[in-house]
Amino acid sequence: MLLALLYDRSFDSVDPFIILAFIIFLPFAAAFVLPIIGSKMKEKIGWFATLISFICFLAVLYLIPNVSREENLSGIIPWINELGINFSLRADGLSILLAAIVSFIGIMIMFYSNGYMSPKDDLNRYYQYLLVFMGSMLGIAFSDNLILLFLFWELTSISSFLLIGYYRDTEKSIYGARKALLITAGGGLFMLLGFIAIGLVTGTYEISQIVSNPEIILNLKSSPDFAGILILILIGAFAKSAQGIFYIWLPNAMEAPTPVSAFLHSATMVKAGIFLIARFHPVFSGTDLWFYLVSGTGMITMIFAGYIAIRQTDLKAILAYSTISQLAYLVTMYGFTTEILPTIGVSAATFHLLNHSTFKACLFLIVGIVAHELGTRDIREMGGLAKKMPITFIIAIIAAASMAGIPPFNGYLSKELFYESSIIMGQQIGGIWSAIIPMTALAGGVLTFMYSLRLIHKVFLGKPANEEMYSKAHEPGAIMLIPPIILAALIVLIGLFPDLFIEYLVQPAINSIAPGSEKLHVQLWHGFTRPFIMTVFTIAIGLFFYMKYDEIAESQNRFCSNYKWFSLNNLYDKAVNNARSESAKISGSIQRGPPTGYIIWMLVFTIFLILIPLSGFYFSGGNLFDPSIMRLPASEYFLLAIIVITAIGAAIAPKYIVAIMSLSAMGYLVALLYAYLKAPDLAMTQVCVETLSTILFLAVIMKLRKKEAVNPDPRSDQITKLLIGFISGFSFLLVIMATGIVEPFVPFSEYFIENAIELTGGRNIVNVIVVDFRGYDTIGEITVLSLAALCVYNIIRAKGMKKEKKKESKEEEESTNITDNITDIVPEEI
Amino acid sequence: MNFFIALLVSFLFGLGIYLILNRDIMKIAIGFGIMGHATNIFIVASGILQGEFVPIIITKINEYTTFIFGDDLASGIIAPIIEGTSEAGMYADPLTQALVLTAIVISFATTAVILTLIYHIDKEFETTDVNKLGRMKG
Repeated sequence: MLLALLYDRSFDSVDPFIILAFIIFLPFAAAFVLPIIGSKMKEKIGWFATLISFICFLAVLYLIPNVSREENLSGIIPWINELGINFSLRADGLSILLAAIVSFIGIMIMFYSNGYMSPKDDLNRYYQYLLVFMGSMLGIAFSDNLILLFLFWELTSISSFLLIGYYRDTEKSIYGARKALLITAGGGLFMLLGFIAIGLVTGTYEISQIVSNPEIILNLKSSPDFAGILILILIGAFAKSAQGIFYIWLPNAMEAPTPVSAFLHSATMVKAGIFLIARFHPVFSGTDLWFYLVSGTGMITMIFAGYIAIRQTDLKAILAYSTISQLAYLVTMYGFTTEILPTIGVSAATFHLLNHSTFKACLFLIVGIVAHELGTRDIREMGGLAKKMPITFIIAIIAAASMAGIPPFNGYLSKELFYESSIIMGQQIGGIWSAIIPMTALAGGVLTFMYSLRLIHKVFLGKPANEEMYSKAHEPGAIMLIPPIILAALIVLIGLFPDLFIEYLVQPAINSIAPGSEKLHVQLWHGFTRPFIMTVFTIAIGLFFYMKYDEIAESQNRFCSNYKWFSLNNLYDKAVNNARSESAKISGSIQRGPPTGYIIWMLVFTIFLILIPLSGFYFSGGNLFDPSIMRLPASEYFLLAIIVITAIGAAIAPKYIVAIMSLSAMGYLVALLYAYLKAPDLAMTQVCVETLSTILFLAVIMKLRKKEAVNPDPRSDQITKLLIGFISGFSFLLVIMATGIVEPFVPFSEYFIENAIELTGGRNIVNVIVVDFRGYDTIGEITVLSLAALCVYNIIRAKGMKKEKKKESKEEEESTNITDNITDIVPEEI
Repeated sequence: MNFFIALLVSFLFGLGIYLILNRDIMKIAIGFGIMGHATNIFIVASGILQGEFVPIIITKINEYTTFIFGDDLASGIIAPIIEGTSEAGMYADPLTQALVLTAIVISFATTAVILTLIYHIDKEFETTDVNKLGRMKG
């Protein structure tokens, strides 16, 4: 075996940290350069992505021997030391298991996508998203720092969002993408709170320290915040793994291309929540709260999702609910911690984690093939495909049988373990629970059996429901067949020779969750034990209820149509859609449009904050107007007077051109005033800017339809506005005059004046400040100008939507007269 | 600060507010321009305060104000340029001027954006009346 060959070597030469970082960053780097390579490889770019995931998988394999010897593979790069946030990576059994699943399924998916995706699709974007997702998933597996884990966690949510919304034009995929992002990324934020709380209680964010140090664990368990931390983290995990009330995003996520669903939404990303639960198993398990929250949620979700799956007619929807139900198995088992066999739940769950990835990914790929061939995913349109697609049919039988828990496939082995752990857990609690827990497990198994049988029966057996589609169907090409064949082979292989996989993959993972746990033994035949009897019952009851399958589905449909309000989706839609309409209402009431509304509010504040206090000060004998400031040279009186005249002209002139000329004259006069106020630089700048503004103003009024201001309001309105203007102006005057009331601060311009020549060699202090002392301000200023330029450019280019629809014909006539370029001034009569 | 400058600033400010309340969008743009001038003049004028309790313009500087660049043209010095070290308090505050210099340039950027918006609004809605624009919403 390859593994055996790799076994005898150690890390004398290569730092394991480098390998871990390489595994994580290779997909990101590949995603980055992918467009460049994509321009060369065109529609073959999928093979590049396949190669990348293959390299990642090899690197993970390379680490397996060291991990199974429980070597310490870790490394750390300090990042934000003060906060305890480090770029620290660590590989243990659990992370290797997840990384192996991710990279292996990654190979399968990217291989398969070469056949599934049409060359017309935006392939670069597709593979980029997939690679980014794979990188972040591997990041989750190997992160040893909680904050780092959180970053990768949210990255998977984002890449999932992008992939669900891959078909950007369809309403449904937008809806699904948004829902998935809101729920998974939102849950992630709760988890972040939990992480920070852990950091506060324990003083570290390093996962390996938290989960292995008994003192820290005891500290956490006795902390009064224990329940809060546990709930916060579980919200994140459940949201990601679609458990409990958070399940609603997963069925809508099926809008993604099928390979994506197989990869993210069944085999890997949704396992991240399970992974988190497993990671924190050493810290939280053994408490009642853990059992009730984790196993309780798991069991309810398992039954509920399995039950709803029966009603579905969309192939992918059946698989989505089945995924929720199967993930609930895992959650339930991780919640089991018994005193007799402390790790039985963990062992069963970890083994099932591996098995579920194989058979569910395989089933999704089969569904992809079927949908690809028939052009529909509706199960009612199918039937009889076994004749047309024999290979696909055989693979489907293997995968579905494994899911249903039928020997000799791998699903059977882990399901037996699940039954066994449920019996032991029931006995542990005792009383009525010793019956209820195994019964719940059995019910979950029965439901799984039913919909697995349904898949095979409705799709491949019986008579074809739609002859036209049926006649077109045929076996797909090799590219789409090879990955499911490999996965099916794996299903059989794990089923027949479980020991190999357990020794190298599952057992190290179990050990890293529960150190020193006994070795997991599984075999196909172990006598007439209780789990075996439960399997027999599962099949028998499942077959019995399968006869009534349509009745059950019908009763569910009736319930759903009678009680439309009774669903979480309804609640979500209401919450999200109402959020939109409510916020529109609020902003609509605050921002009415015309500026008058805002001005009145500003005025209210002006009156209460400035006018009243300052008038009070003045009338109570305060001195606001010192006679010594009343003097001014005669020439300046004149200057001020013409500024006032031009300003009034700009304000009242009805014709735009006159107003603009007035405003421009005022600008030049202000420049002159700056000169009087000892600011020659400003005078210069003002002259330049005023010239430019005037040109711009003129350019715009050239383009306007009317060259005159709209008729003024009725007289009463005019007076109100004048009054508002007067009050504001008067308040401003009071403020200016009141600057003397407060103690003036010492100006720090002395520094610039004293150091200008020495530090910069410039004599003009204003210049020196702008380009030297406060150079960063100038960079900011340049940025603002560039942004404004971009803004202007885009506004000019923007096409009027309303007008286009309303007056298409009219525009055609006018388009000959109107050029789009604003600077291109066409002289018109003014 | 000199009372008349203050009066000018507050007059321009009040006029600017009045214009912004106008229904015509072009007048609003003009109002913004006038308010900008008012603010700039205010800041620059406050730069020649001398940190006394009652703000006054320093007489020595005031003497030269009849000439625009009359500070010391013989040696090529225009306020607030200095040569070597001297009594630093004599100069108008250069920092306020530097800030206003930035403000003037930025006000040009805002004017440009407002004007192109006006251009676009006129093209799309065929009106320059903001009240009518409000009614077109939704």
